[in-house]
Parts: sequence; structure tokens; C-alpha cells
Amino acid sequence: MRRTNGWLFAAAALLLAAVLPARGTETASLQPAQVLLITEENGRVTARCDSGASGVGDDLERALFNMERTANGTLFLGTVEYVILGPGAYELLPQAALSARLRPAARVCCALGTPDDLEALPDFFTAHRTRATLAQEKAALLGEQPVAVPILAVGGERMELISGLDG
Amino acid sequence: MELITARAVRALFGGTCDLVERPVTAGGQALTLFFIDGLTSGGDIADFVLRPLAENVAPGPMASILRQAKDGAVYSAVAESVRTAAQAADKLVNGFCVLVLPGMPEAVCYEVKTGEKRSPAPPESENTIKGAKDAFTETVRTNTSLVRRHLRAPELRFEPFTVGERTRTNVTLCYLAGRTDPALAERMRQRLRSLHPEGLLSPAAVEELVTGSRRTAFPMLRVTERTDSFCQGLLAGQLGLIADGLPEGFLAPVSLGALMDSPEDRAVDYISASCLRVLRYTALFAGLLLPGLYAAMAVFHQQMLPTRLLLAIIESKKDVPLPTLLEVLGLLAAFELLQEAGLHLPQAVGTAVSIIGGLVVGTAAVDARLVSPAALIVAAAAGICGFTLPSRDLSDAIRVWRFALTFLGGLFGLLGLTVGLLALLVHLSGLQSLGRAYLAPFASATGGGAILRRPYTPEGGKMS
Repeated sequence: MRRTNGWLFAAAALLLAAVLPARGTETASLQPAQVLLITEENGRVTARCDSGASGVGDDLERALFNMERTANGTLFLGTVEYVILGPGAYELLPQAALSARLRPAARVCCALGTPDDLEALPDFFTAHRTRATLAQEKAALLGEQPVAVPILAVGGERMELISGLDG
Repeated sequence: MELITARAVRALFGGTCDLVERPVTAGGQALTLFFIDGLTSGGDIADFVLRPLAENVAPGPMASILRQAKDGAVYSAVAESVRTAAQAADKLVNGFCVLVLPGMPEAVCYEVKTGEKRSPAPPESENTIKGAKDAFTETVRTNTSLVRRHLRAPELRFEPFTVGERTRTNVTLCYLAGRTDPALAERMRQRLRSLHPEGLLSPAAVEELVTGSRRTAFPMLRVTERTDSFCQGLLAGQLGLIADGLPEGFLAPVSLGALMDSPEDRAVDYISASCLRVLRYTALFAGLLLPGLYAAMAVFHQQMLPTRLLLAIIESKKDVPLPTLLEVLGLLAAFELLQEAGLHLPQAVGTAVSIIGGLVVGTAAVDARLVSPAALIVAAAAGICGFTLPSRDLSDAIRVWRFALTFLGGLFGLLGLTVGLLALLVHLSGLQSLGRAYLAPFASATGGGAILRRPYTPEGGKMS
């Protein structure tokens, strides 16, 4: 009985080792992104994040894929907290809401203008919290009550939320 | 039948210097008195054996002297006869003096144990703020008297056994008749009779010999230095073992629930005790799983961490050259080393080593970016959680499994950790202590009762 258990254990260990190749990513090698800016021009979608990575594609998924592929390191989109839809990219909101690469809890807003300094945005949004999230937008796509997407006015270095402010 | 002679007794001990041979004349006959210096009281031998022999024994043949020596001419409270040199040797090493009468088939042994022994002192490792402060000593008879003081019921039984071909260790089996399953007691008796080791000098020897060959790090006996905990176990129907030379009592059968029971639980009200128990179980799981969870999350499941926490971890690990798994395993090993060093050093130096090792080296390692603060916190938290467990043996077992689970978590993520946890559960489910399931308290739907402490009832209901 003990011998059988031993063999079973060995077989299970072998199966585990074979089925689960160690494909982890060291945390230290991750390049976390907190802000994702999506723009569209001439039918080409551009994704850019505050870590400096960017990618271009025919649709949002392709742009995100290219951004991850060309990033200097392992780009980690699991930390994206703010998705900004830049001029011309408002129609991409459904794609962003349905994207498996982006966190459903990420907050979304539409920008009137293109913010230059993406790294400043987390502090701005911490001070001015917005309501709409990708999960809510996805729910709206499935028939739930739609949530108005906040609008961010950008003028040079100055930014202002003109709607959708939380509370 | 071979007569017991002074030469045979002498030959058994082979000229050892602490065996004292004293020629005595009583009733006109030349006798020999043996005793072991250091184990016996010289004053008692002189006052209660030698003086009565010289003054009270009437002259006559050797058979008459033997009869008088056995029947009251000597004042010693305990007088026993032995018929072989081996029996005489057994009495000698247990604090008796042996009077050998030439030509007689038996010798007379008088108990003259020395009073030099350690008095009961407060427990060192099972401290409580409230409650009894007496702990076991190294002397088995002192220990049985301490137990008897806590449990004055005449149903309390002590059965003596001698274990160890060389150490001849006195082991006493204790139980409460009517409370303990007689089959359990018989099983333990058979086990003790079947033991023939060279010696029985350490708690681990008692545990491994009594419970048989075992392939587990988890304790199969509960070791306690507190007499009240020991008596509580006897009241709950457990068997007790007390071995001469060991300042601990052993309780069996044992379960995981019993090992998580602390003497402090009975010192405070049941609500506080229940909260403490919940905290202790939380610490058990945290101590076991925290490093593995951290390794799994940091390598495989970063998306499961809150963003702020992940960003903090990423920032703290930026310049650390070691992979997460090695970092955590290294820190756990360093923690074990510190603990081991602290144990083997004098208390004053041990404290200094802890401060230097824990604070100075730890801080320096973080500053030098050799380890990340997050990993250091995780390893330290797991270690502290281990210290909250009331049973040192259980804590040691958790330490072993912590390493295994960290390894699985770091290599295969949460799936590996789950497989490891399942393996642990299967292992624990298969363990038995004296035929009782190790996870017995958690087997029923009311397993929560094993975690929470029930209040004392006027009817004297059993406590959990």
C-alpha cells in the first residue's frame, strides 16, 4: 500500500512538473502601467502608457499586443487604473470594456485633447476621483443602466474634469 | 537456586567507585550493606539502617537475622526482599541500600533515597499570566505527587515500567480509571513492555519509541511541562506518561485540536479564550502559507494583488538580484539559523545575537538591496505566527511544511500551493495517535467546537 502511494505521489509530481512549466514572471522585471492612453488616427489605434511603452494596431487588442511585445521589459497591464480615450478614440470604449488585458476595475474617461505627461495623471485622478469603470461600461453593453463617462479637458499642462466627478 | 552474594553484586557493578560496600555486624553475624553514594542519604543509612541493625537485632542464626531485618527491627519505611543480584542492582540504582546476608536466598533492600532533587519551579516554555505555576521536575516520584495533588481522586492510577537496557529509566503510566478507555491503557502497557532500547534519555526518544516508527514531522504525543495541563489531559481521558529524568509529561492520544490548546485558554474567560483560539488558528495558517502565498503571488499571480501593494512590491524588488523563491527560502533559512543560534547560546548572548541578526543584519540586507522589505516582512511574520502555537513540536512540523509549501508556491504558483496543501491534508488525515485519528476534532460537522472553548458548566461538563 505504501509503495503504491509512493508511486502515485511520484506520478502526480511528474504530472505536475510536466503540466505546469514554471512560467512565472519575476515581479522585479515587471513594468507596471497605471495609465493607458488610447488614441485613433486614420483608422490606426495607438496605445501608450505611463511607463513609456506604446503600440499601434488596427484595433485596440492589436495595439495592446504590439505595445506589450515592443515594450522594454515585461509590460504589466494588470495595474492599469486609468484608461483615457483620447480624441478620435471614443468609439473604442466597447473594445476597452471587453478587453481581457485590462482590469475591469480600471476607471475610464474621455479626454478632450491629448495629455502629454501621463505620469502626472495618477496624482490628478487621486485628487479628482471619477465613477465610471470598465466593468460598468461592460455591464452597460450587456443592458445595464449606462454610466456617463467623465470628460477630461486638457489644455497644455492644465487638466480639468468637466463631468463625471465622483460625489 | 543460586544464592545472592556480595561477590555477585560487586561483580555486576565491576568496581565502580560510587558503589559503597559496608561490612556490618548484626546479631553476631557478619553482613554486607551496599549502597550507591550520591543516590542515597548517608544520614538515613546511619540512623535508620545501621543503628537499628546494631542495637535492635538479637543474636541468632542467619535465618533469624533475616527475619528480624525484614520484620521491623530496621526502621526504614520501605523494606523489600530481592533474590538475585540483578534485582539488587535495580534497587541500588533506585536509591535503596541492600543488606546481603551470607548463605541466605534473599537480600533485604531499604529505601534511603537522597532528598537532593530539584523542587518544582514555574514552567519555562508554557508560561501563563494566571493559573498554576508548578511544573514537572526530573524526579518521577515528585511528578506523581504533583499530579496527585491536582487529581486527588482514588481512581488516579500510576503503573511503573522500566525502559532502557542501560538507562533503566522508570516510566510511569498514568490514567484516570473510568475516564480512560481501558483498551488504550492496555495498548500502551503492551507498547511499554515491548520496548528494549539502550536508553531513554530524551523527550524525542520517549515519543518515537512509544508511538513507533513514524514518517511525519507532526507530534504523536503531547509534551507538557505543566502539571495542570497534564491533569487536564487525564481528565479528558488521555493517557499520561512520566519518565524519570525528564521534566515533562507526555499525553496520548493526541489530535491537532489538542495541540492547539493552550493553558492560557483555561486561565481566561471562555469568550476571550475562544477569540485567542481563533487568532491562534489564523496564525497557524498564516505561518504555514504566508511565504508560499507571497512567492506564488509575486511570481505567478501579480494580478491578484491590489495595485498599490503590487506597485510597492515592484518598487521594493527593483534592485534585488535574487529571484523571489530564493529570496524567501533564504530568509526563512536565515530565520531558522537565528533561532537555532539563539537556542544554543547563553541567554544574554542569545538576545544580542537576535538583535544583531534580526535588526542590524536584516536592515543592512534591505539597505544593500540583497532582499526586499516585503519578503523580509513575510518571512518574519510567518516566523512570529509559528511562535504563537502552544506546542513547540507542532511549530517545528509547521516550519518543515512551510519550506515545502514555499517551494511549491514559488515553482508552480497557487496550483502548486494547493497541491501541497492537499498533500498535507491527506497526510494529516492518515495520521493516528494510539489508533485515534489526528484530525478527529474536525471530522464532524460540529468541528467548530474544537476551535472555540466551551464555558465551564455547573454539572461539570467536559471542556473542549
